Amino acid sequence: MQNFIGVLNWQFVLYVGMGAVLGLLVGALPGLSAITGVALVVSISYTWGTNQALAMIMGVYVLACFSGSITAILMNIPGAPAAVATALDGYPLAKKGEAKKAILTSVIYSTIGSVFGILALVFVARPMSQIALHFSPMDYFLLSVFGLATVGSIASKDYLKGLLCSVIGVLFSCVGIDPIMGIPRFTFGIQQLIVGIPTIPALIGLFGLSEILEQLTLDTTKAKVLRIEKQKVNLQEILGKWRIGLKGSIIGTLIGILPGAGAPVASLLSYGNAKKSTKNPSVPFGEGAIEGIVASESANNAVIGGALIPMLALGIPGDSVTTIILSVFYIHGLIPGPLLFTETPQLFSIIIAAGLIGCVFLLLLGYTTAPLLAKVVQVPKKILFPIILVLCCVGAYANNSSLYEVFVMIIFGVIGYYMKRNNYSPAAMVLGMVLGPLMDNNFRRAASLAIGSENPFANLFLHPITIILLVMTVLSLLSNNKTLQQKAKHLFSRRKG
Amino acid sequence: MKKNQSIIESYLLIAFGLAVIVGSLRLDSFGELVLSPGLFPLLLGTLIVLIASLMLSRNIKLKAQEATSDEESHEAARHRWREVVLFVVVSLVYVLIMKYFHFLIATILYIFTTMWLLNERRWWSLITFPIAVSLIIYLCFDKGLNVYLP
Repeated sequence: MQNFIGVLNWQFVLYVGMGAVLGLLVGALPGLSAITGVALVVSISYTWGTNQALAMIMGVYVLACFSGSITAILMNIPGAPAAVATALDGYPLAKKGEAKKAILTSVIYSTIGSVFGILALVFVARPMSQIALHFSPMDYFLLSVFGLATVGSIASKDYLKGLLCSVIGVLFSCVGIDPIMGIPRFTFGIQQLIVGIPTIPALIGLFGLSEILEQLTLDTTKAKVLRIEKQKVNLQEILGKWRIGLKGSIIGTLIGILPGAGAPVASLLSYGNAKKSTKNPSVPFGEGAIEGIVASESANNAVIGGALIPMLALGIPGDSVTTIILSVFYIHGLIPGPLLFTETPQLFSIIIAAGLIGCVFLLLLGYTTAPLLAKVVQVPKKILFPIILVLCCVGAYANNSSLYEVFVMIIFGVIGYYMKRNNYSPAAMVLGMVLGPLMDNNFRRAASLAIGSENPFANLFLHPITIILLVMTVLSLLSNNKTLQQKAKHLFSRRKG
Repeated sequence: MKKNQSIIESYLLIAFGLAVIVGSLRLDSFGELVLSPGLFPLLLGTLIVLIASLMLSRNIKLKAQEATSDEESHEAARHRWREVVLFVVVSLVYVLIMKYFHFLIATILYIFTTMWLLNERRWWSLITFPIAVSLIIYLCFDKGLNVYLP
């Protein structure tokens, strides 16, 4: 609690506020998302203190997860994939002249979802991190493998491609001086590669530039924006849907904890669950039922706290945004896990405080800025894209005041564009790049410890945690094997028959 | 067309994996395999070959099953890539000229060119917008955030 109060000052609130405004913008702009916003903040906050960087990033994260719903409701264009389910009922409700009700519902339940997720983070992260105290080097290695295997399955439509991206990401992290033997690996005599491939420019390229390149060729004809009519909204009716909101928050938090899943999966699952379980919705789902907005918005914002749990407790990010936040930790010399809670407990408080202040900004700005945001997202791409392109270049340059890093960003932008066009996963690649050094070190440490022991096999694998992690990894890999899935379905259908 | 591309892609990935394996084996191990800097990349290279081979066999099967494809036309794909290559080249030139000119000049030219490529033809917009945006970004980063710009 002392740490929590200690971080609160007007500067801290200001940084969260700046992040919140940026989050509102990137979340609402179709094509851009929390990932783009956080990637840009990481690039400019490289020289800042950790507190300020994390404050702004949390502001972006909380608001960007929400603001996609504004365009979903007013224009039927979800600002982010997580708002797709919101559009299903939000837009029909707005078309009936009840846009104010739809947006207020979204604001209230996004806030409830965010607060729920953050509270779950407070209570779950620390106990979970205690498990990590008993981890051997092999366990850390397997935990990273499990994270990559799961991300590969969810972040890409094609599992094999997702998995391949993770492996190539890990390989990219091997470029540069080997930390154990001090020998350069895969540098091909290029001086700049000795320090490795810079992660921040790579991720700006993979998420920022590639997104712009992707959007360049898309047709973005102006959509009609519905007006927010002045109407009296029955708050009791909105708040009366708390049960659906609570269920959505629980689903969102749990999905957030799963490495690689994220807000889009959570909101669709929660929407589907609400549709099945709500017997008497205000109007049928798909025709403007506020129950649909409640389910979708509470779940997609609860993902924030959920996704931060494995990242802070174990160093395994829950989604693409937390992958980038993890890179911020490494940049600032911090290692997530049990030591984070004992050695730098204030950092945990910073994240919680920034998240909760972000929720206050969500309540304050969510409704009031909705009409303005709807206009901003109509700014033509010929004006908007050049600005974002320059910001990507400046962001990559600011990382180390090096033009070489801007080249790296552009190269990864093209790679990211190709990957997106062909169902490869940039998120899996970045996660591989971030977890790579941890995997390399722990793998070799585990191998050398095993070689020195009497029974190498037992030393490597015969520990309870190792066996659990091995089983989890194998299950994750097998559950994504289509042939096995078909056989299992066939078996179950025969039993039913 | 798309299926052929996937098969070629798989072959290239297998070649890439094999190159990683060869590169890893060439790294000096000082006689200690477990401490060798090439051990982990060797494992990764093997995994790349394995996964790419699985992709290849799947793509060959899919090609045999599907003779036709509903993917975008060859012409549309070429047009898309042409635009992307154009923007990438302009961005690379921007980085190069930033080295020799001031950030402000390079950025004004860059925004002007990208706006032109995105079919902006209003002269007042092409003049005022690049200057205003470049100045704002310069002041924000160079003066506000203490990021030294070239």
